[in-house]
Amino acid sequence: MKKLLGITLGIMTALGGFVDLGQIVFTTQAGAIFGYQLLWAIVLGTAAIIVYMEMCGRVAVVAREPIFSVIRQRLGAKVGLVTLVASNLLNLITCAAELGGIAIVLHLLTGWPEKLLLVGTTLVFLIMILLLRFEWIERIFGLSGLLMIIFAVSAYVLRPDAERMLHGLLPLFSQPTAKDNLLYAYFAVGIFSAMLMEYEVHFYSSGAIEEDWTTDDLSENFMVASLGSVMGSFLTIALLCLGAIVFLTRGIFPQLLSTTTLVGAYPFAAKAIVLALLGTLACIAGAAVETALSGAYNVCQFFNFEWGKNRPVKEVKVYTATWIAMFAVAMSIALTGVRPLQLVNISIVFGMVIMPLTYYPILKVASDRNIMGKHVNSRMDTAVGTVFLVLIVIASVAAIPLMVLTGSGKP
Amino acid sequence: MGSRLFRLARQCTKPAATCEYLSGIFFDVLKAIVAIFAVLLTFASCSRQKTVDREKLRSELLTSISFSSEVELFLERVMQGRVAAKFADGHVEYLSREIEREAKDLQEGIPSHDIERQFNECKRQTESLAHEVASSKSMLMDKAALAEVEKRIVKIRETLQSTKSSL
Repeated sequence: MKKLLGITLGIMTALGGFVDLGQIVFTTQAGAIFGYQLLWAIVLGTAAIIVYMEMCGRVAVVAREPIFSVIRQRLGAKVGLVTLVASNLLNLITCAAELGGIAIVLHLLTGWPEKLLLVGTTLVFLIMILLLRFEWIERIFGLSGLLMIIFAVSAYVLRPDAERMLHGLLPLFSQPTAKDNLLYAYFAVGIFSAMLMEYEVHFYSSGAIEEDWTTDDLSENFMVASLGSVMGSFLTIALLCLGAIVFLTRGIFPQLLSTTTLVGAYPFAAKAIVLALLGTLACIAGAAVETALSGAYNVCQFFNFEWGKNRPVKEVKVYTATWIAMFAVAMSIALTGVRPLQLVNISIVFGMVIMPLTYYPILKVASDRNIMGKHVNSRMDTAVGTVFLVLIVIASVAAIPLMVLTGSGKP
Repeated sequence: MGSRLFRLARQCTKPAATCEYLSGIFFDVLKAIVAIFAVLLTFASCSRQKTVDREKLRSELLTSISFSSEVELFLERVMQGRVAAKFADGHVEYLSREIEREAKDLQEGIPSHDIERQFNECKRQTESLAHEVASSKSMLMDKAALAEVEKRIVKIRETLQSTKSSL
């Protein structure tokens, strides 16, 4: 009974923590331009995140190896360090974007000055992380993110076109113009990347070590990775549907977080907007915390410093200093007034570019019988993992050229 | 390769030794990453180029049409009483800021000769849109006044759409 409760809680937490600013923006914009045509990218992204998350969790539990320790050993110090610096730059940009997004949402809720809210929120996060244990941080942000379900309810009430949704499961690069085809490819890569944001997986696998998971917990790992991601992807599909139903029909290309939130409560009265704002707030707050902590995990795991949220601060000084620094630098970036959605654009593309460097070592270790013993990847697991590696490499190579050719996805 | 990994793995059990080893290559790595990041930022800002050709103007027109429709949608919701007051104040502020930024970008644009007329129309209509949204900030409680603003915005959108068709 206790195990079932743990699994349910894990799935709910994964569901609530699935969506972040990048997904909210990219998916809604994709729906606004291409309707349901990019549904396949969400399905593909969901399958990829399940494979990646499950492998990371399993490697963490069986090999007791955190991700960046694996990366350093498999890629060598030089490439490993490139990956570390790139990943943490990505975490920093993403954290800044999420903090900026939080300030916008809080401004829409309270009317208070954005910059004051930005500083205040960062301080609240610092205090919360210092005081709370890992599992409570994960649960508070993950479970409050469930408020995002209002977006799914709105999409359901607005009745998406089932036939077109089915057609959207097949990739079709037959847009009216060459530019539209490039835009279609850009948003496909963007959605795929947004669903595979690596900080989520690094946070998850470090959590498995923090919470002392054993091989007995591997079934929980599988359930959380698969069911949590599948249910989370329904929220992403809802965002795509809302973009298609509300924005596409009116010729709107949403470029503001507030516009995206507005459709989250579209069929309902004014109070539902508050709910949509709170759901968005919880999701992006969770993402901000995860990116900062993920940055600290990466550094400590790579350099073999002591780490762990559940350990006393004096035992994990580098870890604590790193996540505090991540917040401080991200807040400073956000305070410059740079637009969060612009940062999100960069983080999504940059995230895809470096993705193969973190995915490949995990696939190698998960397929290594000497390390994983009886929990090694089956042939099928390795085949599926390799297919996704190929897709990730293709998307990684295409990301920057597509960004240039489409002017960062401008229709 | 294997022995190198083994050596590295051994070093990594001692944080100080690892740091020493890695500090030798740190600045090279950092330079490479910063270079990649700078390239990305440059590419991201490519969309803000000043010279406006037919394709760029088409994109600018689409953006202005999108903003007009966005404002129409918002005003509709406000008049139906489906938007919380704080949200309405905040959203109109963001819309206004974004449309003003778009109008400013257009002001700095230099069109090619064959699209000068359409470009000037786009610029004029976007400025009108920015003005309408800025003035609507103070009348969010006045449904009659909002209905008038909405009518004018519909006209702006229609003009932008016909300008796009003429390209």
